[in-house]
Order: sequence, then structure tokens, then C-alpha cells
Amino acid sequence: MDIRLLKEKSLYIRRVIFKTAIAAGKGHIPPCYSWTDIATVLFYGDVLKIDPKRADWQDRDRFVLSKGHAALTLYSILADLEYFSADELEKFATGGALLPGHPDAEIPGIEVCTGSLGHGLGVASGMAFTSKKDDLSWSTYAVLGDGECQEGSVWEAIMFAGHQGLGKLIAIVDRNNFGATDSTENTARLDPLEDKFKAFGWDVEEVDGHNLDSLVSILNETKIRTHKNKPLCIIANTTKGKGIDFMENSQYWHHQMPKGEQIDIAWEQLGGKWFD
Amino acid sequence: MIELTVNKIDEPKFDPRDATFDVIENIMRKDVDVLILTNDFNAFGLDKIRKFAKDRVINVGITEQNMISVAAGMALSGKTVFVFGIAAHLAFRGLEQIKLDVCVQNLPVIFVAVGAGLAYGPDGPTHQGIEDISVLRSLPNISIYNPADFYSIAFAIRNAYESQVPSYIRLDKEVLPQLYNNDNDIKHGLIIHQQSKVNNQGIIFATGITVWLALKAQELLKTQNVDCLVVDIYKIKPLNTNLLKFFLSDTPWVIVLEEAIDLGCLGELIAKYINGGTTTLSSVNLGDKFLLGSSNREWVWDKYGFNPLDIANKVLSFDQI
Repeated sequence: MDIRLLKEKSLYIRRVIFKTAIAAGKGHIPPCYSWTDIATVLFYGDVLKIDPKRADWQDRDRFVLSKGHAALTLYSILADLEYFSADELEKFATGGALLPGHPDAEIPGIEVCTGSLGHGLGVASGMAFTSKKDDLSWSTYAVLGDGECQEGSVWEAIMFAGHQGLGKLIAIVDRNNFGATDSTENTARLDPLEDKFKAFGWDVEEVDGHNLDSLVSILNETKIRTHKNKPLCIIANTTKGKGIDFMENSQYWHHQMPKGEQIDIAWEQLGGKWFD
Repeated sequence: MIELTVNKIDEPKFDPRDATFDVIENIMRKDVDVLILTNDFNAFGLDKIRKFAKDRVINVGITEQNMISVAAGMALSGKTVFVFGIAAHLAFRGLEQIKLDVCVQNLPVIFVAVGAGLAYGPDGPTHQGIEDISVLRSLPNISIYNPADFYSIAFAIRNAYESQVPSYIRLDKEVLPQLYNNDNDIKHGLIIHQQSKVNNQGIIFATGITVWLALKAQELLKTQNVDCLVVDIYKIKPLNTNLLKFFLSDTPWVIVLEEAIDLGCLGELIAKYINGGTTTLSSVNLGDKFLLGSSNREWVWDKYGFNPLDIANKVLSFDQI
């Protein structure tokens, strides 16, 4: 998919997220928007080796959304790729629905139940270990929140993956600089994050997490890492709430839902009357 | 009241860890998709396995949370994973990983947890395994075994491997007296120590090392013309409730012996299946407090009434006797 189409797709996914969250009165819109461009390139930019018609295909790349609260981005893409019916989005977080607020592994296309932070990279490391040990073709991708990197278990996983030399493990840190209520640098400072990963035996690259050209370039390079003996961390510098200006880089906006006039303003910024 | 000296343990002895790794070794020789993870904990049997499967025994360092997440990731990609460590650390440091990464996803991760009950009693509350079963019992999908014999340990390992579900197998640390001569009766989760039950017979339920104490109490009671059953519950979850209900149906008294805290203990579980109000139930356990100081088994058994003599005298004090 070329850049123009990726841009359209990214906007479309943002709209679906917004529409779904507003209908449910629930969802983490800003944390979803900070990794929506990354997700768009992963799923539509020929990065992940997957087949929606065969969700359990053995040779598929494994994708783990460790920041499970940003599930609506993933749900919107999986529905668009027809892992499940788009009707499921309309039932998001309602009684008996397939799609809860945080993803579980009964959902087609979801590999791991996540939502409690600090689990995904360890699970992804276990998968990547299997792929390396048995010389299998697939890679493992995990998207982490930066706030999540304050969890001790994340650093246990970083140590393990570095020690084991899991070259086909790619961790993408959604570096939007915010936890739930404050900047990560005001609570338990993460910087210098790049140096920390390097010190734990990882390759590290940095990218603008909203520049689709850069994301296409850097994420496509991950497909040829089969000879590498270090895991790769991509620190994607992002903006929490990217796409709706009053949500951007605000410690107020995490799981709050826009109301009244805010909804109209947001709709307009997401493409005006596209849904009407 | 009886006043007898209990003989020292004189049965043949075995090492629970050796028994465990002998079975795991057999499994791993046949199934290349079985791995072992350990948090820098070791055993003689583990070294034996390393000799033929070095790449399948991974010491992940002292990182219990990650070890369990990694095990889940391996299981999600087709492996059966034994996770080896100290019970108190596996069950509590990695509790959320056990719950979310392993149990919610119903994965074949088998915890081999050393330090059942007071096996590490003198090491203090950091190492005692007296709350793990109460906590882990609350998790759906997990099977819990607490065997204290060569054959019941072998059964637990094989049963957990064959069932391919989350499993927690507790082991004692010390060399133990062997309870059984074969595995003929080890299949129902409970072992009844008597050929058949007669009407209106009392029962001592025990699990782990306390089975030996129960058997000694049974011997003492026999000298006072009191026959009772001893039931070894080596599989605590899922519990064989049909068999349990059958044995409880006309029982005048029940004693439950467990090196565990009171809340969520086996006594509480068995109480659910006692019908009517005529059965006397007495739980011998560690109450609702931590054991500070050096709490070795002999000291705790004396203090909390676990000794066979205390148990026998408790039975003799029941109105039904």
C-alpha cells in the first residue's frame, strides 16, 4: 500500500476508533491515537506476515499489543481486515460482546490477553525464543506503552531477550511521554531510554511515530533481521491523542470521553462529515 | 487419653526432586517440545536432563515474573513448559503472570514448586509455602497437586503433562518416607488408606507430608480400638468431589490436617461437602497469622497439634467415640 493510501487508512482507523468509543461511552482514545500510524504501517504496509483468512496460520508473524488499553486501534484494524465482523465493533464493551475493553485471546487475530501492563514483552520473548530455537521463519512484534516501561517485569524481559539474543524480536515503544495522569518524566523517569535498551544488549532505533514514510522504511527493514543476534527496540516518538488537537499531549486525556461540542470538534478534525 | 511414643520414620525414603525429574526426563526424551525454565534454582535431576537436552533447560535468572510470561509465550508457540522454583516465590511474585498469561489462556505451563507447607519453615515467612494453595485455588483452569510419595509425584507430573492445562505441583524439600509400594491406586486424586469403608467411620484427611502424620495417628487409634480412614488428597484441584461426598456421607467425625493457613484451606473445602449437622469437623492448620522466627516442622507440629499423639487424643475427645 502506498503512502497516500496508508494516510487514508490511518485516518479511517482513527474515525472507526472514535465512532466505536463514542457509541460505547468507553475507550482510551488518546493512547489509541498515539500508535495508530504505527499500527497502520504494521498491518497495511506489508510488514507483518499474516493471513486474515488463516488467523492460526503457523508461519504467521506474532503481534502482541502489550499496551492493551489501546485495543480499539487493533480491533478496528482486525475488523477492517475481516478477522471478525465489523458488527462486533458496534457491540464493543457491551454485555456478552466479543470485544472487551482490553483484548483477550479468544478474539480472532489476538495472540495474547493483555491489559495489565508489563506482561506483553515477556510473552513475546517466549514466542521469539521458540522461533529462534526451532529456526522458524516468523518474527515477533510487540508494541509497548512508554508508561508501561516503568514496570519492573518489562526490564526482566528486556534482560532476557538481550541475553538470549532474540534477533527476530522487535519491540516498538510508543513514546508519547505520558502515563495515565502525568508525564513519565515526572513520575519515574525513563530517559535516556535508548541508552537503557542498548545497555541491556538491544539494537535501538528511533523514529517519528507519525511519519508514515519513516515508519514504512524502518518497519520494513525489520523483515530482514534474520541474521541478527540482538533484539531490536524502535522508540517511536509519538503524540498522545494525535489527530484531535485538544487531546494532544494533555495529561487530562487518557480514558476520558469527549462530550457535547467536543465531539463535534473532534469529528471535524477527523475529516468532517465522513460518517454522515 | 493415650500416651505413646511415635516411632521414628522407618519406611524406605525417596527424594521428591529426584522422583520429579526422573519422570520429566522420560517425558523430555520422547517429546522435544518440552522445555524447563528455572529462576536460578537447581536440582540433581535437572543437571541430568541438561546432559542430553542442554538447550531445553533454561536458567532465566532471578526473574520470576518474566519467567512465567516467557513460559506462556513458549506455550502459545507449541511448547509444554515446566517452570521450576520455590513455591513461595513462584506463587506470589508471579501471581498475576500465572493468572493472566497462563490461566486465562489455559496454557500447558506446569509449575514444579519446591517448599510445600513448612518445608522451608525455619527460613521464615519469605520461604514458607503456607498460603499458595489458598490463593491459587481461586484461579480458574489451574490444576493443583500436593503429592508426598514417589508414585503420587510421578502421577502428578504425568497427569499434568498429559492434560495440557495450567498445573501447580508442590513438592517437599526433604527426603521423605515412601507411602506407597506401587501406583495401582493412584488415579482418582484421593488415596484411601484402608481396604473398604465401614459404616460410621471417622476420617482423617491429609495432604502432603501430613499424610504420614495421619497414618501414624491411625495406628495409635487402632491400639485404642478406634478404626478410622486416612485419605491422602494429592490432587486438590479439581477435587474428586464424587468420591469425597461418598466417604463423607455417614461420617461421624472428620479431621483435616494441612500445613497451611486457615482461610481457603482444605478443611474449608471439605466442610462444603459435609451434609447435615451431626459430623464433627476439626481442621488442624496454622490459623490466620504468619509464622515469624524459626518455625521448623517439629516445633510447629507440637505447637499447632499436628503430632500423631495430639491427633489421636483429639479424636478420642470427640463425643462420637
